[in-house]
Amino acid sequence: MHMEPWDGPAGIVLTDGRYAACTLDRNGLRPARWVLTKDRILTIASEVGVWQIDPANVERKGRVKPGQMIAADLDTGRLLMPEDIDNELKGTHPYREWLKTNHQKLFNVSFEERDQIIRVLAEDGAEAIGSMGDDTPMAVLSQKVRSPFDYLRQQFAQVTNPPIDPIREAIVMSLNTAFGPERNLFEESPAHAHRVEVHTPLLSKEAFDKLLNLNDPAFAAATLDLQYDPATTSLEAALKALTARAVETVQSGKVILVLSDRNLGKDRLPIHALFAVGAVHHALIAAGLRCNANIVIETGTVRDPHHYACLIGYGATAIYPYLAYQVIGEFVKTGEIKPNLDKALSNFRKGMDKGIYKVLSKMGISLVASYRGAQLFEGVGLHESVVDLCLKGTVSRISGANFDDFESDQKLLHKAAFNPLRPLSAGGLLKFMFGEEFHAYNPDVVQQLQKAVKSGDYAEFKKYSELVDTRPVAMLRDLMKLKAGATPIPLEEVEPVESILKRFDSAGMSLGALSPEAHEALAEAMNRIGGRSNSGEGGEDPKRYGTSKTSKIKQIASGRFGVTATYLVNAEVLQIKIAQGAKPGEGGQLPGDKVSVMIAGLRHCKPGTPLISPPPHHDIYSIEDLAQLIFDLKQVNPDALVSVKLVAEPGVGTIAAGVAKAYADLITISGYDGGTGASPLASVLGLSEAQQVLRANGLRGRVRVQTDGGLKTGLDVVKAAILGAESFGFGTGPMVALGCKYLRICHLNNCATGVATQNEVLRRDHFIGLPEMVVNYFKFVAEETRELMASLGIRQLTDLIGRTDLLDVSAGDTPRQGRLNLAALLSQGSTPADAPRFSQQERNPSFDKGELAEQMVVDALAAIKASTPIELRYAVKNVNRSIGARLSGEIAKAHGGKGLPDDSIRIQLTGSAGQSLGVWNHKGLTITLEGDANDYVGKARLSATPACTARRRANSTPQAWAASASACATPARWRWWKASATTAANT
Amino acid sequence: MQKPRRWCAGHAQEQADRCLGCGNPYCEWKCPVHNYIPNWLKLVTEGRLFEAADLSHQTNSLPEVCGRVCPQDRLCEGACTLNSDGFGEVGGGFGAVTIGQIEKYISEEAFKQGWRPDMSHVVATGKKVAVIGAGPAGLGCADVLARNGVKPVVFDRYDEIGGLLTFGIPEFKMEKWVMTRRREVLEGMGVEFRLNTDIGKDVSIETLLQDYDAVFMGMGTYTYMKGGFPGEDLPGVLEALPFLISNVRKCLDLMKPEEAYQDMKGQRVVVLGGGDTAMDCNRTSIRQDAASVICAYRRDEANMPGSKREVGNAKEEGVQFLWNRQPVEIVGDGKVEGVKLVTTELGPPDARGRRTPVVVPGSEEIIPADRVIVAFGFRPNPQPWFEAHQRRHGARFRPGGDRRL
Repeated sequence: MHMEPWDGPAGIVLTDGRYAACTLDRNGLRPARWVLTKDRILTIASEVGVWQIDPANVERKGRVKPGQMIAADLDTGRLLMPEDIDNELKGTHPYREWLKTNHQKLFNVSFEERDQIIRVLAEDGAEAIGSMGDDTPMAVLSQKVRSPFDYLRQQFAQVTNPPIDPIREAIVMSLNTAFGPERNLFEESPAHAHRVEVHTPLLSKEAFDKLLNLNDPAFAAATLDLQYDPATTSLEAALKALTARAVETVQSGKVILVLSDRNLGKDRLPIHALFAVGAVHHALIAAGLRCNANIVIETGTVRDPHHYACLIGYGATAIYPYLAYQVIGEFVKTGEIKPNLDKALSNFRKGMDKGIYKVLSKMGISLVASYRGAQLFEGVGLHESVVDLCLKGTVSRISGANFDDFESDQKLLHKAAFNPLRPLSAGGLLKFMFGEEFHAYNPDVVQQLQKAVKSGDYAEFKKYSELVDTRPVAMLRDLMKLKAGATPIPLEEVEPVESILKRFDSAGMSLGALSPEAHEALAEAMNRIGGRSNSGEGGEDPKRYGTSKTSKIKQIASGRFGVTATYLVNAEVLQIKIAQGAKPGEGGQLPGDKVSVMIAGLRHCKPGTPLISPPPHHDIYSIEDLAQLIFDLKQVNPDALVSVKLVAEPGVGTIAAGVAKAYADLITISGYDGGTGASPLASVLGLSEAQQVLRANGLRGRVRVQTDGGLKTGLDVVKAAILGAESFGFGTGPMVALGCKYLRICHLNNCATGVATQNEVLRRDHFIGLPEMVVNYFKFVAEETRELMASLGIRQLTDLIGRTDLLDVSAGDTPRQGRLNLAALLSQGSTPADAPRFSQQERNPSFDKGELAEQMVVDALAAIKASTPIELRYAVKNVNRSIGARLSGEIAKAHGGKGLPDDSIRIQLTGSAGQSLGVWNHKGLTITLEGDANDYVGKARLSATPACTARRRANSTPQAWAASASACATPARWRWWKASATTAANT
Repeated sequence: MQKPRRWCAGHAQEQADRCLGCGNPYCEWKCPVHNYIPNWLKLVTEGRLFEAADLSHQTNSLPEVCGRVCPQDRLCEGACTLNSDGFGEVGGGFGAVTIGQIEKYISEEAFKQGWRPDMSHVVATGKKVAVIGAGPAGLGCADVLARNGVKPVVFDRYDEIGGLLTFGIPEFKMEKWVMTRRREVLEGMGVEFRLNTDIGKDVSIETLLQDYDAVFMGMGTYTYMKGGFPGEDLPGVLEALPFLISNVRKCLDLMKPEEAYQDMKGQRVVVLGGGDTAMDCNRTSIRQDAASVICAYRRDEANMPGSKREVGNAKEEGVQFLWNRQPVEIVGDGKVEGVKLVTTELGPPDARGRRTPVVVPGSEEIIPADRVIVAFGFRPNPQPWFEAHQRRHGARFRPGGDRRL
């Protein structure tokens, strides 16, 4: 049973004296048939009929199937069938011990987590897919016991470096993990090769047992117990004692240092694995011993890939997640899941490994060895004392829970764990559950909002905003109150609803994710109120262009689905989606079921194919690349504003500054975990950081800043403005207004409200949304914003932006909320008060005026409009970037998607072309270059590849871009890297 | 008649499998005891019956009763995403998952297969509690106490447990053996029943306070609300509860010689009220072969408090409904001869959001009747000894029949 599946082909017949057995390889390439006669003779052979048996004498017969074993017990005369053998083996595991639920209660496993997370991993070997993000309070604000892992947010690559695509670039990734001391890289010795290697740091029981019993001083193991007696010591003191013991143990020559929380006791509390691993890791570094030992953690706390990533990220070499295995053992035993124990456990590991591959890839890291100890997390709500001892060096900006808080959490769990009457908790983190964790879009909120927008009754909306604004503290902004004591002004003196509505956008949700009806209703509503809707990634039906149903914001995401010159010229704003709140560092995903004929047509792909956008934009590997894409967009549609959507994480301010310098006109800061706009967990952090950095660097006046983190009410808008936003994106709110009931089944194409499905019947019979409902929603929000402005004595929304002095920080409801320090978020540092707080200019024009491109338009425009063929010749230099894009834009504007007949506009170029030659190339435009070109030749073109002659042959196959990009662009890229290095050195 | 429907495992699984597993489980949210409905639906789908029974008992001491008598159509099933369109309006949807039927199926099938509450981990505390009243509140209390290692002794003045579940709810809504079986189950868990015992008469409250660590009072809401109009005292005007109780006791052959049985045979019956008790009176009268049954309610059908399913059942059985009618007098000379009604219109909503009926002038009419049953609702009926002990023990009485512990 614990054998790895072996390929064979072979049948093995074996005996140990008592049992005679036959087993087959997993493919069953070697047949084995058996016959048992009534006189108890068992025959197994590769064919039947190897000798004559009287059919009347046959008791049973059959064949051994692939991977199975049958055996005869010669003592009892019993024939053991494959399932008997499995059962016998199963019976030898210590399930009785495993089945105790107090371990599960002690480590806060809930029914929900078992059912929705562990079970899915064990059954499918992949993480569960969910929808609509997370709308629960961030851990430090929660009134429930939350895992310390929840206080850590994974960082992800955003502009500064590219994520890896864990699906398409899987080949470069590895989880191989080696045990044994790390030796001097510059010496060579046999000892260097003396290491034990496993292919994943998530150990099976067998691997774990073996590792501890290697019988080799190079891998001498010692186990340190993580339990302590709270009556005599505290969590902090216990941690310090642990680190001292760890240092001693390593000094004494032990190499494999096992930290275990398995040995629970009625009077003892476990040190959480995260704290233990982090503290030991840092203590060993401080003692200069880190390379001599491996930390292996045997823990009940690891049940999902985030837990796994946290422990590796804070220095664990390997993890043995015994409690997850126990839960899976229970599933197998009760028949709750179909796979046998071995399969289920290996599924679990496979799913967890896939999960950690994703975590690595989001950060652009290919080997787990590079991730180990890299601490690529942001602490949200962790006190300095905890960070200093256990997570040293981790960014944690607002302080928060200290060791006392975590100890009191563990005491609560411990009490429940040793009370046999308390059942396992029901859960409630993923789905709303009465009496459990708070959810921002709970049934009361959803139903009250729907009542308000349907009736159009502002009094009903006030009930809704009352529900939202007086909820238990769930978001950081709930701790910020509007300062009392301002002199109110009459409501009439506040700027009108209409001018506030112009600042509202809907967040990008693709046609594909949403039903066409919902997508169009949303667009129509936004157009009606004078705001802007966002197409999302995935194109837009050309029939909607120029009508009231068009989305004024067109999104450019990593998959580039449906991004054509025509799409781009039919926009007021072009938004580059660098990351999205629901899954930062990952691309959008559209399940195959949702890729209908219509959707596939718009996305230029085949119906039924799952569409998974890559995590990176394959043309953005640095901020300079992003600047180039912004320029490409400004060239194809000079009238549009270019916006860049970022997700809040530490350093987002610096990235925003870079984006402003790259001439984006708009920056959107999205909340981490926002989902389809559900919860703005960290958007407050991100928004305030962006505001601070942009102002400090004199860039704030050049760009507009938008936030789209779970805004729900007028109060949210006012607070967001105070923190620095001048434009506001809404995701879930308008969805709910259209009938979404927050079912979180968007990915199943099964949405009962017809909002997030492509199913014809659901769309036709069950979608009841009307643009009026969305219009009502936004009018209500705007009206409420005005009322609050009046109460603050503010006439113009711009007078509110960046006025952090209008906010007071409240102490919160729990001790750890009281320990949060939000002052830093509101501080403006040494930035002078008169530095701009909001955008002072309509757009942020590039230094590059694109003179050559403009000249080409002057020369060709008449021919384009008249559809007359023309041939033009120009000399190019490498400063002439995105050549062709302006013409393609003009062709798309004049002739739409069908463009012009082939070769209508022929451009002959000589010289070295700048980047993005022939980008967005539209039908009818042919560019021929004699000379060479830089990166991105023919990027995202619809037709007519630019041809490079002379040193490069003309080429019109679809691979042209790749071919020419690699062929002619690689040397350029090399030069470019060097150039950028020089610049950096000079500044 | 309620259509008897046999429920097999396949049918239950098929229904349970329809659950979408919403991110916002509106059923669980709407359920007054917040049953983990989606969770046990999933267990049923997977055929894990005993686990479903365990889970449904975690939030509810009498799931087999709720499965039968809860007004699911305005609670869990009414809130079910599949039942409603995007805005929670009933109708136009796919039809709710039949949660009530599944809840009943879980208990019935589990009991049939030998499931009983698992008491193996219970550690006795040595404490004991007197529970006054074997109605739903008392039984719920006893159940929770027993599971927590406290010995409950339940007193009731009637000869069977269940209180109104047994004596108030007509047999056609819930078979009486349901409570008999629950009694066995509870006794198996260590609950002791002392029936036919009236506290204050057979045993004094002082004795209980002396002999037990605590006393729980769950004595029900038997005081009925009056209409406050002339003629309410005429012979032939009945209170709903005594009428229903006498009917059940007659059916169960428990009538004592001194008890009066109210027979509706051949009578023209008018039921006043629009709640579930009124529906029970309607349907019981029909079963007693009343000549006619008319139900008058002061608001319209959409605004009545009773379960729509029950109204439907009553209509199907021949009850005639008069909506927007408010009784102003019961007329008759020495006995009931008719009910004077006025027509109402719905005015603006009151503080609780329900629309108040407003009388239409000059709309009086008299409906001939031999019997009038008043079902306007109930209030707690404080016992004479409450006053003395309330102050002494600082106990608080919560009117409104809050059955949750």
